Amino acid sequence: MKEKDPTTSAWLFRLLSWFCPEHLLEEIEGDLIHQFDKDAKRFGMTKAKWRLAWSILRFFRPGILLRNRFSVDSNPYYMLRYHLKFATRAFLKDKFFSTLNILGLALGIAVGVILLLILQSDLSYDKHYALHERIYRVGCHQQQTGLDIRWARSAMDLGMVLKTEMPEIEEVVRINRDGPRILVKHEGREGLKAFYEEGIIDADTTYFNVFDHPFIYGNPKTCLQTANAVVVTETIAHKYFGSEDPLGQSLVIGSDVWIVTGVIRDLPENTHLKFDLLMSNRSFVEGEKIASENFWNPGSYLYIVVPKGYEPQTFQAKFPALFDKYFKAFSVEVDGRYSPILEPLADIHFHSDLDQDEPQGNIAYLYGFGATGILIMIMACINYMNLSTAKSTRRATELAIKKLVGSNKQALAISILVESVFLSLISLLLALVVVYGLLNFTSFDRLIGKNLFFDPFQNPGLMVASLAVALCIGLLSGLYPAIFLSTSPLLTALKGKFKTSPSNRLFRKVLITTQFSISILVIVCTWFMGDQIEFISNKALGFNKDNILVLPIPDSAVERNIPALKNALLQNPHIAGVTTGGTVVGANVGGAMNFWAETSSGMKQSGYTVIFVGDDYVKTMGLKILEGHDFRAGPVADDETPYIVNETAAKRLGWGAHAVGKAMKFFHGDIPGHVVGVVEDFNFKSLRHAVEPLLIIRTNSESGYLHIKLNGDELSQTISDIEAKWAQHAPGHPFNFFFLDQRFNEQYNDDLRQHKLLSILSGISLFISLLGLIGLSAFAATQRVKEIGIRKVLGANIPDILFLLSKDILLLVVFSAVLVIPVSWWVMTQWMENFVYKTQLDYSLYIAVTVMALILVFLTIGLQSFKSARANPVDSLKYE
Amino acid sequence: MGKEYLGEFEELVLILVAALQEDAYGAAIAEEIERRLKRDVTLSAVHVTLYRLEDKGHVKSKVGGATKERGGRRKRLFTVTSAGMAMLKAMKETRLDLWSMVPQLKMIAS
Repeated sequence: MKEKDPTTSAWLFRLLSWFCPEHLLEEIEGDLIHQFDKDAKRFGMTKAKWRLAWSILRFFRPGILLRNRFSVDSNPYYMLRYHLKFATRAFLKDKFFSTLNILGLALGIAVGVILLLILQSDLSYDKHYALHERIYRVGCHQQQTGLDIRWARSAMDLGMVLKTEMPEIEEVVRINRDGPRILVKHEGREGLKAFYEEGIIDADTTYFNVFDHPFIYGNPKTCLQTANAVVVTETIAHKYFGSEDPLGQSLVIGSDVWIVTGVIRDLPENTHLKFDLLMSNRSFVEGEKIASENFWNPGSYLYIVVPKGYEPQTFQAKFPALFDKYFKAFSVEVDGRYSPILEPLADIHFHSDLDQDEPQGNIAYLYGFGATGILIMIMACINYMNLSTAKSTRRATELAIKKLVGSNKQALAISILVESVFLSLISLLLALVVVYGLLNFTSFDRLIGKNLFFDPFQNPGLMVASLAVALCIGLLSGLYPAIFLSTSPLLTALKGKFKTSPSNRLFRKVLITTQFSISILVIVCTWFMGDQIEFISNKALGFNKDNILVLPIPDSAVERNIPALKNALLQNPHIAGVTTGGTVVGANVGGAMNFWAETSSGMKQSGYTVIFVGDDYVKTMGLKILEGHDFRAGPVADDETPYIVNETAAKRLGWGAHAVGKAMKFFHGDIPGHVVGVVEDFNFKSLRHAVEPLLIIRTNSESGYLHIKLNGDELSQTISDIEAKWAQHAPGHPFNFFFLDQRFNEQYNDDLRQHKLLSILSGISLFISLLGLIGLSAFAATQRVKEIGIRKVLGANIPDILFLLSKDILLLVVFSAVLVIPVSWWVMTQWMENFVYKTQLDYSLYIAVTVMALILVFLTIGLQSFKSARANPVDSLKYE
Repeated sequence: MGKEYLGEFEELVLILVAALQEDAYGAAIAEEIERRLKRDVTLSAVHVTLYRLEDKGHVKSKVGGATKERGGRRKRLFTVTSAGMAMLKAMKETRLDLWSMVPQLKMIAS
């Protein structure tokens, strides 16, 4: 044995010996000691030690590492075959353990594969557009008295002037999303096909210069050049025209005839701007005189194509000149400030936080799901580690003999790694089958609200990544057993007295605690989430959202019939009230609009959310008037507009209890108006937001949405009655209705989906922990057969013994639960930040979850050890 | 990289192996570099270079006898092979050749 230098830290050298090739180790160590002695004289002990550590670390480089002669290298195929043979034997020898291992690993890998699929879809958003790196969306940050908005939109007219003012911008397209409209296709003399279509956008003729779509019919260059041109997707073309040639066919939208000039492939899932029909009837008119005010009206999405290497800062730097020219005239009136916001196309899905946008991805949820997925994979690894080290006493003899016949540590470690990788590859196959089944034969898609396509043969990237995940899991789970088993002492193992060491048992306890901490964490969080979602879905909103049926009013022709329809509907005893509203409360209620209001310092302008309503709105919606009165029935006078404001608006304006009679005026309206009443605050947006100032304005127009309040009796009959009356007063228009409460709660769909997904994941995590426990307890019970025998002879009964066997692990579970409290508290308070209205975190939940975990653990262990506990002590003791 | 090519650091190490003659081993070379060139090198860099030179056939090595001061570890002593020597000479000559092309005046001027 070589002399150890007493002054050096031995563990550093152990580290070196772990990765340094054996035949070079001695001289390198020598040189290091040589250098260390010199350093010690020159700089003193402490510094020399640091330098030594650094020098050793620097040896961890390919030039050294690759000089290791692995035994596999000498004859890789033979050795691998040999390792595989042992792996298969070990696998077949203990089918119970192997099944547990594979199940755990397969679950972990399946979670990993699905995670990869989701990542793949989410990270590829909008990247299929050839120009995506050069496309920016221009939004705005607009501030003026009482208004501070960050919107994803810009004024139509800004799009118009951009190209002339900034000639370096290669292309500009403005897009508006249209509400749902009815499409009619006339067939022959009498027949017609009519459907409601929701995915309609209206764009400039330049659309296809910016976004490229694969065309089935038509030419992207010319299809939008004619007037009233509409480009539809494959699905729409098929729906209206079947197998006919769709080009040149006409569709009636609203009251105009549109000609189909192109058919494109259906849009992929991973694009932020989805549509089925693209109408275009607008081109840039240059040199037109535009009122400055128009620029302060951000209404459409605006996309620009910039040249290669363009910096968005250039845009910002040039913008002040543009502001002076177009925006300034109006800014003086409203004390306005305006700055454009440029977002790269591919960033919109996750990173845009602007309002008035398309539905968006929520990166926080992706992180949440990703983190849980990774935790589950770690749990699967832990399972494997636990099971294989626990089992090591059985393998010790095999390994000792291998050592005796000349195998070295490395070869042993490799053989154990080969085994774990072998198992994880089998698990990968199983996992792929599971994922395939899950995505193709169950409604998992709907659960996560995302269409995932899993086609192993079309998606080589995914397969490679999945393989990598499986290999990582295999290596990670094999690593500890490999180190632990390959270094077990030879002689004791041969004598069959090999026992796991205290440090090993401690390590296993740490692993089990980790596992249960993760499980309990995920379960507790899921539970809290569920509480919060239930809380916001059921919280009283200040208006009565139940039993209100909403029907969109499709066009002005129907609008004229609304009063008659209202009267007809009110004949039905089960209909309690009918009204119209310009928007429906919920996700996209109104935009902000500017109004003048009387304050102590004269008329002042600020922004409000506005709902234009017809007769009986306040009553039908169940709003509570705090002051003043409801709108008077019947049409309003042309020269006087009545307003109802909410509490917040009255408070904001400093009106106190004297709101009634205060003057109000639409921004450029000359028609004066007065406040007639104040309503109690109600949540007209989701509970993520606090209540903002709101104006309810009575108009004579009956456009928007028909709100029908039912009393809840004989629902289906009432609905068919409504349908009959609808057909009578709005002939040819489909009867497409929704219920207000459902639509309102759809705002929480994202949370709900996430909650469901997390519930599944928490179930899986608990299941994996229990799988591991099954193995461990089965093993522990066989190990302690004699102890159990003796205890029984001395008078212990079955419950005593079951308790004895599960006591340790039950303690660990309690310990994990305590550990988890601060972490889960932190996670949940973070998540709750999303909501203005929060439920109280219920701490008895911890106890409930812990008790549940304890019961499950006890049952799992109990079932496994019941056999040993019941065995006749004579059988277990007679061999001594 | 061709066989006939030596990097700057490789060349440096090779020259030192030649210079140190009987006592060329990792730590000694590193020390020499630090002392003469005032250049910070890590031991691992020197070792990796020595092994690479050995692979290329420019040096050969044998394990020397044990001494007390290295914690009892033996040294690996390197010597330049004739191929290595030829390589060094060739490199030196090409350098001189190239130097002879540099006009003297210009050097003074700069």
